[in-house]
Amino acid sequence: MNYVFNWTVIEKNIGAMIEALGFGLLMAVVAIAAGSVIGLLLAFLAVSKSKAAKRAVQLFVTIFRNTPILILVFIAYFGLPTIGITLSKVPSFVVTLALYSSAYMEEVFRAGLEAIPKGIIEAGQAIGLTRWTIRVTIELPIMFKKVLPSMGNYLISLFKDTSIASSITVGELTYLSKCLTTQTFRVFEIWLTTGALYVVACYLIAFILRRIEKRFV
Amino acid sequence: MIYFQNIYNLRDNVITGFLNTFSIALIAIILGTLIGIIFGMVLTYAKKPVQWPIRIYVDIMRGLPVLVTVFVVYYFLNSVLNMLFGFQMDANTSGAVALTLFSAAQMTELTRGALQSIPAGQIEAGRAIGLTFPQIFVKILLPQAVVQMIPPWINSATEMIKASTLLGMIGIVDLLLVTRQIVAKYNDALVYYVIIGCFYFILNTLIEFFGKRLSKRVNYLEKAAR
Amino acid sequence: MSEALLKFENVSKSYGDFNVFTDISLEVHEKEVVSIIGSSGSGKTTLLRCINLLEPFQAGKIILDGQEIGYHEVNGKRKRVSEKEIAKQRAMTGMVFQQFNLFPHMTAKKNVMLGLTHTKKMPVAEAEKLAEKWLSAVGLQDKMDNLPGQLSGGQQQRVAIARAVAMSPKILLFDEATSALDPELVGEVLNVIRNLAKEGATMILVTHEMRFAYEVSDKVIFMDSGKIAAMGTPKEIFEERPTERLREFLATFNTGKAE
Repeated sequence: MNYVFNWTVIEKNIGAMIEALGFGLLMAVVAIAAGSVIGLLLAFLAVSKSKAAKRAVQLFVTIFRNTPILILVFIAYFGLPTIGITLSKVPSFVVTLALYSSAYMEEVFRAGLEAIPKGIIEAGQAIGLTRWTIRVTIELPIMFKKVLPSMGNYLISLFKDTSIASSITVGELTYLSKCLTTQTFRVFEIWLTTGALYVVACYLIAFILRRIEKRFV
Repeated sequence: MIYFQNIYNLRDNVITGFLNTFSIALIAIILGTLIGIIFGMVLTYAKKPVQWPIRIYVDIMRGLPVLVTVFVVYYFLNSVLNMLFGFQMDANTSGAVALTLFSAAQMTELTRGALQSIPAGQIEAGRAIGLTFPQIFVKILLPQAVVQMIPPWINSATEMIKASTLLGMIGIVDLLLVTRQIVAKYNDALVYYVIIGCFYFILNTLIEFFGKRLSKRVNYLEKAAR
Repeated sequence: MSEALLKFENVSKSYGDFNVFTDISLEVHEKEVVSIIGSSGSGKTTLLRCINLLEPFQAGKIILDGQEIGYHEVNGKRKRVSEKEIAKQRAMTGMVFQQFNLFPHMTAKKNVMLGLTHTKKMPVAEAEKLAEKWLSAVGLQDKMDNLPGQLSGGQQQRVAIARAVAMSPKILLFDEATSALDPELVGEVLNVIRNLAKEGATMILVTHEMRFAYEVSDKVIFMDSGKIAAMGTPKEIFEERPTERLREFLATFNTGKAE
C-alpha cells in the first residue's frame, strides 16, 4: 500500500517511447514488404507444376511457421556470425522477420491464387493471352484484392512481433521500457503506459488500414 | 558428439527448463481453453452488460504483443497486487498467468466464432421440439462448434508452445534460457540454437500432424453419427 | 465447295482409360452455324474446348484455316506446339463460356480491351473504340464502365460475347452460353447470337436450346457417348430423327420440331 505514483519518468520519456513504437512499426512495414515479395515468388513456385518446387516451399514454410521466432532471431544474430555471416542487430532482426513473414505470406498468396476460378484463367487463354500476361493482368490483381485484409491483419501481428527485437537490444518500445524499468523501477507507470501504447497503436493501425482497403476494394 | 555431451553436462538445467516450459505451456493451454469456452459462450449468448468486461479484455489482449503481456503481468500486475493485497507472484506464476491470459483471449474468439457460425434457426428448431437451452447447447450447438474449433485450437496450442520461449525474458528457466547458458559456457551459438530450434520445430510439427489426424477423426465420427 | 474453315481429322481424346470421344471427323465451312447437341457427358463441351486448345487431345488433327493447330510433327513425333504458339492460335478462335468468366476486377470495357491490347498489340485508343463499338452492338452502351459484379447474368454474358467477337476470330465457339442464366435472361443472349449469325459469323454452338438450334443452324451434330451419332440439316435432325438414340434424346426435351 506504500507505492507512491510518480509519473515523471513517463512525462520525460513519452516522446522517446512513441518514437520507439514508430521504429517498431517501420521494421514491421519493411519486413512485410520484403516478405511479400519473397512470399509471392514462393507462392508461384508452389502453384507451379514442379513437385520438387512444391515440396521445397512446403518445407520452408513449415520450418518458419513451427519454429519460435525468438529462436530464429537468436540463430540469425548470435548463430550466423560463428560461420562468418555478421549483420548488425537491426538488419539481422528485419531480415529474420522478413523471412518469417514470407512463409506466412506464401500461404496467404497461394490460397488467394488457388481461389481464382479456373474459368477466368481459361477466358484469358481463350483470347490468346500468354501465361505471364494472365499472371500479371488477371491473377495478381484479383488475388491482391482478396488478400488485402489478411495482409493488413498480418502487418499488425508483425508489428507486435517487433517487441521481440528487445531480446537483442534493438531500440524499440519494449526494449526502451525494459531499460527505463531497470533505471527507475517505476514498473506500474512504465508498463501501464507501454501496454496502452501498443493497444492504441494496434487499433489505430487497424483503423487506417481499413480506410486504405476501402479505397482499393 | 561433443555438443550433446555438453548438453548432457548441464542436464539438471535442461530438465528444469523442460519441465518449466511444458508445465507453463500446458497450464496456459488447458486453463485458457476452459476460460475461453466460458467467455466465448458469454459473448454469444449473455446480455450486453455482461459481455462488456469480457469484450474489453479480449480487445486489449488482441492489441498486446505476447512478450509485452509477459512484462505487463510480471511488472504491472504484480505491482497492483502488491498495492492491493501486499503480495507478488514469482516469475513462474507470472509467466503462467500471462500465457493463460493470452490463450484465454484467443480461445474466447475461437469459441465465439464457432458458436456464431451456427445458424440461429437451429436454436429455434430445438425450442420448437421442446428442448431447453442447456439441452440445445449440449446436443446441438456444442458438437458442431467442437468440430469447427479443433483446427484453430491446435494452431493456438502450437502458438502457446512458441510463446513459452519468451518466458526466459523474465528470468524463468525455460529451455531457451538453458540454451543461452550452454552457449555462454561452450560457445558454438549456431549449433545450440539450431538444435533447440529443431526441437521446437519437430514438437510443433508433431502437434500439427496429430491435430490434423484428430480433426479428420472427429469429422468422420461426426458424419458417422448422422 | 470451297475448302472447309475448320476440319477435324480423326480426332480422339481420352482421360487416362476413359475415352471422351474417338475418331471424330467433321467440317465447318465459312459463315456456317453448327450446333452440337447431346446429353451431358457425350463429349460435346470437351470437343469445343479442344478447338480452343484448352484441352489436349491424343490423336488426329484439327485444321483451322488451312493450318494444323495445337500440335506439329518434330522428327516424325507428334508434339504440342509452344506455349506462345498456342496463345497465338487460340486468338484465332473466340470462346464464350457457360459461366461467362469475365475478369471480375475490370470494367466491361476493359474486359473487351484486354485481348486487343495484349494479344493483338492494338493501341489503347483504338482498342477502346472497338470495345465501345462491340459493347454497343450487344446493347450495353450504358454499362461499359460497370464491373461484372454490377451486371446481370445476361448482361455479363453479352460482355463475354463482345470480348470474344472483338478479337475478330475466324470462328466463334459457344459452350452452353445460356445454361447458367435465369430463364428470363436467355432471350437477350440468344438475340445477340442470332444477330451474329445473320451477319455471317462462323459459329459452333454447344447448346441445350433445341428450338434455337433448329432456327439458327445450318448443320446440327448429335453426339452420343463420344461419337457423332447423327449429323445433318436441322430439318433432318429434328424432324426426321434418323436414329433411336436421337429420338430418345429429343423426347427428353419438350420440343424437337419448331413448335
